[in-house]
Amino acid sequence: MKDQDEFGARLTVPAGKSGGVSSGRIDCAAVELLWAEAAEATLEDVVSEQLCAHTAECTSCREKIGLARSGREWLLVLKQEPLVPPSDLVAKILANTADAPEAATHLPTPVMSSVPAAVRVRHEIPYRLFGLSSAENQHASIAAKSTGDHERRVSDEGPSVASPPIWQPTSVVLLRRTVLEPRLALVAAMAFFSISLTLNLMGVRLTNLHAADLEPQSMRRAVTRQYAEANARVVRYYENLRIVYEVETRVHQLRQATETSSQPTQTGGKPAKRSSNSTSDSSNDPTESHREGLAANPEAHGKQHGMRPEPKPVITGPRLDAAFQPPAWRSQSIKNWMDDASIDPVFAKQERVLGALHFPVQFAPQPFACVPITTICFSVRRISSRERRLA
Amino acid sequence: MGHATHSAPKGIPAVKQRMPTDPDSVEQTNALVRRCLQGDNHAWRQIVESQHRRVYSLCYRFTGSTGNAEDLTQDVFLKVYRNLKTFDVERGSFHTWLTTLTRNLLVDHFRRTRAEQTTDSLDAGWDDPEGLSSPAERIQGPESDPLQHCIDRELQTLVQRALLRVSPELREAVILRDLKDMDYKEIAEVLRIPEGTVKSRINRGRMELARLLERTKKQVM
Repeated sequence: MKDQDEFGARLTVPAGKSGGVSSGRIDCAAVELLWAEAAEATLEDVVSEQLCAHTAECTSCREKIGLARSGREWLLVLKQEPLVPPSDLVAKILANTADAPEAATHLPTPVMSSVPAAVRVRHEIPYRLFGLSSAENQHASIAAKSTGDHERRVSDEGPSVASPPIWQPTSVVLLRRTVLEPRLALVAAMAFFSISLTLNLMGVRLTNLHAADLEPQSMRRAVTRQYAEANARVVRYYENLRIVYEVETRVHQLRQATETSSQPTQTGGKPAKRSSNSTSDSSNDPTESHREGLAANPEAHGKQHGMRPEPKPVITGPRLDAAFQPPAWRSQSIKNWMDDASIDPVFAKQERVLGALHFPVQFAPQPFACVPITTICFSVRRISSRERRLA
Repeated sequence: MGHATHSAPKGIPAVKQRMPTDPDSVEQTNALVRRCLQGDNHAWRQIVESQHRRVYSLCYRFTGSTGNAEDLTQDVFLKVYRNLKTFDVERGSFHTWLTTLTRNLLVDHFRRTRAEQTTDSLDAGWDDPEGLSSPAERIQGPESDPLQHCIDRELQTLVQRALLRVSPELREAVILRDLKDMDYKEIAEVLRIPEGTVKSRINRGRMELARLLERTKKQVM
C-alpha cells in the first residue's frame, strides 16, 4: 500500500535518535502511527517484525495494540450479517425522486380489505385529529397521484374509508402546522399587543370607530384637531411659565426697593457704633465683614469673591428703546399691570425689555422657543437666589 | 507480535487482508451515472437498487434506528437526484461522492437531534434491522441453530449500542473503515481531514469501543 510505504519510510529511525526503547528500532511515537494497520494485520513483513520487536519490550504499546485489535474484532460482529433495508425502500425512493409511473407500481398495496370497517375508522381517527393521512392513505395517494386514477381508487374504496383529499397534506395541513407553530403564535400575540398599545396611546378607541371616520376628510379633520389641541397645550404651558418668572422678577424688584429705602435709615442711625466695633468684630464675624465690604464697594467686593458685578446699560438711546417696544396688546397689558401694582419706573423698563424678548419667542417654532425661555427663567432664578444670600 | 490482553469474541473469523474497492464495480457505477445524466430513467433505478443497501447500512450504524435510517436514506437519494448533474465522473469516485453526501446528512441529523439523544425512546429495542416482524420469524431466521442466532443477535445489539456511545468523530471513521471497507485516502476525502488524523481516529475509536464492551462484559459477568 502507498500508506504503508510512506509510513515505512518513517520507520527507519536513525540510531541514537529513537524514543528510548532500543537503538536501531522503532520508538513509541512511530508505533502509534502503525496502530491502525497493526490492528488490521495489513503491515508489511519488515515493519511487522520491527513492531513485534518493539511490542515485546514495550508493555504500553502492546496493550494498546491489543485493545485496538479487540475493538476491530468486535466490529466484525456487525459485519457478519448484512443489514436488510425495508422491502419498500427502493419504491419509496423512486416515488420521491422520479415521477415515472413505474415507481408507483412498485409500492406495496395497502392490505386493508380484510380489516373491518369499524376498526379501519378507529385506526384513522388519530390521523384525522392531527390533520394527517395514515400510512395506507399516503401509499394510496402516492400511487394514485403517479398513475392518475386517484378518483377511481377513492370511489372503489367507498365512503367508509377516511381518505382525505389529495391536496390536504400539501395545503391545509401545512397551513395548520405553520399557524400553530409556537413561535409564530407568539409573534402574532406580540404584534397584536403592540398595535393595541399604540392605538390606546394615540387615543383611538376601536369601539367608537365608525366607517365614516375612515374617510379621508374625516381623518384629515381629526389630525388637524389633534395638532391644534397639542399646540394649544404647549402654548398654555409657555404662558404659565412666563407668569412664574414675571412674578419672581417682581418680587425681587420689590425686595430690592425695600432694601434701598431702609439702608439710609440704618446708616444714619448707628454709624459710630459700627465703626468702633469694626476692628474687633470683623475678624470674628465673617457675615458682618461681608456686609460692610459689600456696602463700601460692591463692585470690588464682587470681583474679590468671584461674583459677577451688577449689569449696567452699555447701549442706550431712543432707537434702542423703540426697538424694544412690545406690541400694542402687550403694552396695554403691562400698563394695566403697572397701574394695578403701582411699581416704580425701573421695573417698568425691565418689564418692557422682557416683553420685547418674549415677542419673537411667541412666533418662533415651539422647540426653539424653549431655549431662550428656559435660559431667562434660570438666570432670573439665579439672580434672585444670589440676592437672597446677600440679604 | 505481542500477546493481546483483551479477549475477542469467539467464533469470529480472523482478520483478513483488506481488499481495495473493485475497479470493475466502480467503472460500472460510473457508466450508470453517465447514462443517468443522459436521461436514462432505468439507469437511475439501477443506481438506487445497487446503492441503497450501502447507504441504509451506513445510516443505521450511525443512528442506531431503523426509522431514522430509512428517512435519511430517502433524503440522501433525493439529494443525489437533485445534485447528480454537479457530479463530475472524471474527477472522482461515485462511491466517495455518495458517502460524502450521506455523511453530511448524518452530521446535520446529529446536530438536529442532539437534544433528543439524551433520552431513550420508548420504541428503543423494537427496531428490527433485518425486517423480521414476529418473534417466531426471528427465531426461524436464516440461521440453522435458533440459539446461535439469538446469541448473535444479542451480540450485535450489544456492539451496536456500544458503537452509539463512541463519540461521533471516532464513530464515523470506524464505521467507514471497518464496516464500509473504505481505504484511508477515501475516508480522508470524505471527512476532509489528513490521513494521519484518519488513522488516529480509527485507532482511538476501536480502543474506545473495546473499553466500553469490556466494561459491559464485566458488568454482565
